Amino acid sequence: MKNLQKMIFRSLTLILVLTTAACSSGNNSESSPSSNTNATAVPAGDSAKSNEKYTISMMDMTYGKIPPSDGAAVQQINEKFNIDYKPTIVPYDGYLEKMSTTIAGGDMPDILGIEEYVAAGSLQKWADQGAFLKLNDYITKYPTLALIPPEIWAAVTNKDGTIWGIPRYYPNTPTQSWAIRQDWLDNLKLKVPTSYEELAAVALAFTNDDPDQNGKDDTYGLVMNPGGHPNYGMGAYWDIDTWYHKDADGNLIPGYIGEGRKESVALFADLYKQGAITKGFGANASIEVGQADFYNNKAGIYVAGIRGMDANLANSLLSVAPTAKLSAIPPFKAPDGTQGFTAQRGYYRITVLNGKLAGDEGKIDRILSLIDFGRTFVPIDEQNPDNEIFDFRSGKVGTGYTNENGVNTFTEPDLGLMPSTYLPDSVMWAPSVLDNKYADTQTNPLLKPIVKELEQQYVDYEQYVDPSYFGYSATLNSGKGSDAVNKVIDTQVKMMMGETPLSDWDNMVNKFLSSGGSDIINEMNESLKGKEMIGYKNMSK
Amino acid sequence: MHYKTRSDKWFDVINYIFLGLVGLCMIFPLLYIFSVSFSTMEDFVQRDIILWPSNWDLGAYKYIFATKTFGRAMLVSICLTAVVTFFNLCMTSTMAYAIIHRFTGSKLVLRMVVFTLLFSPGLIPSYLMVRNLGLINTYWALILPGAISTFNLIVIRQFFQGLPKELFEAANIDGANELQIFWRIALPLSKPALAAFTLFYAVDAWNAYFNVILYMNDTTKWTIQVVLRQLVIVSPPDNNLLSSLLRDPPPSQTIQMAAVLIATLPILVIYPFLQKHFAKGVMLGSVKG
Repeated sequence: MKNLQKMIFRSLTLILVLTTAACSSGNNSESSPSSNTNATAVPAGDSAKSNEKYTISMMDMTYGKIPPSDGAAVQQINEKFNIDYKPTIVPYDGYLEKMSTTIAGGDMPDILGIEEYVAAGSLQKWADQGAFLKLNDYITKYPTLALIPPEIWAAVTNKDGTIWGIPRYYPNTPTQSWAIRQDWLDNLKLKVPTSYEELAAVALAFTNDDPDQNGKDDTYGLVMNPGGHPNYGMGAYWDIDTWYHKDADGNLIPGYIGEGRKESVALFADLYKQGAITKGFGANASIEVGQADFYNNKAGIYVAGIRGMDANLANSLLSVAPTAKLSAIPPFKAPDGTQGFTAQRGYYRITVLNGKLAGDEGKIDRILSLIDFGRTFVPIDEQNPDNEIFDFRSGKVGTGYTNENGVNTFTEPDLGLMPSTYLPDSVMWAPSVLDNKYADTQTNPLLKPIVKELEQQYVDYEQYVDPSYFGYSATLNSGKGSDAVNKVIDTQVKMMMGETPLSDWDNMVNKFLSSGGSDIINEMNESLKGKEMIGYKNMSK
Repeated sequence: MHYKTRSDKWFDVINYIFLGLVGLCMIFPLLYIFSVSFSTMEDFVQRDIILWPSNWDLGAYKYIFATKTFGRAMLVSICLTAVVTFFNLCMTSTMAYAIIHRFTGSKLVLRMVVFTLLFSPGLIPSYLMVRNLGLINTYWALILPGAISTFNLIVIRQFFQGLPKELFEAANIDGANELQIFWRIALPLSKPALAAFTLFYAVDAWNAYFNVILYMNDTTKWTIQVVLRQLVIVSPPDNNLLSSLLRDPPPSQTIQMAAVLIATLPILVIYPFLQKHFAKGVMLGSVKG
């Protein structure tokens, strides 16, 4: 697995807790015909401008059950869009090879779905070779494409300014958010920490002052897991994965060798010594170990997410600690005056069109209409049979899904009854993260308040756009690169656990630089030349 | 019946105990998979380790058999395994028999064979070949490209070469032609080797996954491994976001175990029938009594 490093870095956060968020772009009010949340449906009639029937082939992967090539829903798509649709949907296990051979063999379908973590290296190469259709002229013509903010377009733009792909929706909330036991704070008459000093003081109080008041010494402060995850970067300045700091030559460097990380590693080493961090975390089998401590009323601070927090875990905490309450920790003010977390990349997976389509405007329009339809956002409270778009994409009420007392139950994808399982991109693009109504749809009593707080944080604080999202380093995506990065991470875990002295920091950085790190930094900075650095930005506006 | 000393008996006892333990180590994972697949999810979560189902439950199997494509995929796999195995054996044994003879260019043929053993063409050239032969989306794509395994070919050739030449000469004098010699003498004498390769080829064919994904775009032609693989596959990190695409939760452990069992069962069933030949096959090249 070549890109283990990126995978581990970004995905582990996802796995830990799927934080989330959104995309509301700064400029969508100008470019998009409608920036309010009313679903802007594209009547199929528009896309059927010409009466010509096109054959459209599509290849993508799925993690779930495979829909049959000849599902009933394919016929519905054919009729609605006046096309002969040929979807090939493959399990993700083996998709990269299938995709590469198909492209190399000259059999690239009209539409191709790409998982950027898996295909990172080849992706740039293919794009440079013109395998994908240039989309610059089309991106303002389709409502859901017009919603994509510039920092996300940057990720699919070549050096010469060619836009070669359509990013699929993923909320752009912070990569990590933080939960703290508010009831423990109340018991100890403490406040939610606003700086690392306060965080350390709270963690020690949670360890030594019996925050659950059960008379036993059975609690501690911060949960930490193998690999030093979560890294408690309380802002982009400290964030381990973010390219925020610069070296002496003015080049951006990754967070794990940055100034902020150095400070926090020293702090955590001290806390670990005093028993305020998960014992032996570096050698734990998995994140479940540390996670269980938090949800079994043993530890007071852990990672949280606006979306994807596990209700079962929350209930198990409530069953042992019925009075448990969670608060969100806000980002800390950094020494350079900034304050805000790193945003997630704001997209997941990319749709590309075959470069050979160039010139066939009718077909391109038909394809983009199909893509745009699948991405059209249907507000949560309108996801019912009365909404034409929702009803169509879900395969008509009574067939593809049932709606009883306002609850939708969908059929299995392998029955092939839902057009959404076949559409090239069926992840709805929410105009704003807040439109996903995470707090409103969260029913768990422990989680609802903290999700509400996190939504508020999303509005209140700016977030940093990590330039590495639209830069690229071949070395970073190679085995050599991930080895170099993993060595740094391992060393930092050893430092925090007191097995390696902190004085080894410079030594660790030099080793990293000489074993591929300087290539990573040079390549990344080279690829960012001429691209606009967005820096901090309020995503909710 | 020779007399056993006390130390012999002790040796036997220790031996039995040791081999019994080794056997248990082999059986244990299978038993565990078997038991979990017949347990309810509740049992699986509550009990630390399940060595025998306390409540027999067929839920996992019902779930798998209810997968729409299951029946067809099973049929495709069984037919494909039979055809591929037979085809491979025919190709391998006939070619192996041919290259034990000296004929013009036989050395060159052998060198070409060995060359493919050392240098593999790689994925994309293989794909291009299959595509340009027009085999994409046909079962031939799974039968032809790997019809002869070079390694197996060389082993069978060695086996044929080990047969006494006098036999062939005698048959020749009796008026048998090459085909008859091959059919009546070489093949029957090579049963152990053929049995071994039947199993190898059958296991390979049964486990075909990657090539199916690569060459088959039509889901109706998929093999059982592709269908089962999705059931045991780990879900993506971000289930929630993809929930619009992925509305079913990742299958439970019990279903995964049932899938593993179904995937390995046919091979387990075939094995005992071929096992007796293996014992002979293992003696290949040793002293022949």
